[in-house]
Amino acid sequence: LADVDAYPVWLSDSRRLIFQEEGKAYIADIVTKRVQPFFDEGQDRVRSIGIARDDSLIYFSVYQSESDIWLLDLRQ
Amino acid sequence: LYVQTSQQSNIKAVEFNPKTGKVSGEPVWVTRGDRQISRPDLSPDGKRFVMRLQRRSQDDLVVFNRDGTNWSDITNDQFFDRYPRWSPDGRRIAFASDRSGNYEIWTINADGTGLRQLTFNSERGAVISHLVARRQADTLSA
Repeated sequence: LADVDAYPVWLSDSRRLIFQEEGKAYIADIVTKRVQPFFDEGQDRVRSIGIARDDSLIYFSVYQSESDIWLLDLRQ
Repeated sequence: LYVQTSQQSNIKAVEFNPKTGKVSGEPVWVTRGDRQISRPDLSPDGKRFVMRLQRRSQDDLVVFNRDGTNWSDITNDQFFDRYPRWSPDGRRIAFASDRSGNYEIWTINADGTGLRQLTFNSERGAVISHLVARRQADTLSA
């Protein structure tokens, strides 16, 4: 259905599933075999996506990494 | 000269319309803060999340309300507990853990009591990862 390494989650209709790939969320229809992105958080990459049992809510992890360069003066 | 890196992982949620297959509104933060949590699973009644919390030298399971309040440790020990999943009735949580020396499937009550080892596959060379619980059955796959 999709050539990705992802963790798919079924919707309750047993026809569609959602998964994340490279920070974006996709929805796939196993009947039409159509796969399309439906959600993108920009710089906040979507991971560990899940869906409520009634399909009303999607939740996911957002990883944020920040690096700063510091200069320490050892003479002081 | 040195580089300092901070990493955070929190949870967001957004409303979804299953008829259109699209989200509605903007995602909201369920959790915020300087922590690393992942693998969320919402309880069958939609009221509580369970997820993995990465601590300094261990991974534990925590539960909290859907709005991010009322945190409670389900496990808090030296082992690595991962991939938590609610049972279909919302009473127990299944997860992978190395507490027996290898990664196996364990279950625990939602209040942190009743810890039980479910599989003993590592003796046969199997590797447990990424647990899945069926929505309307009492079976688990890994």
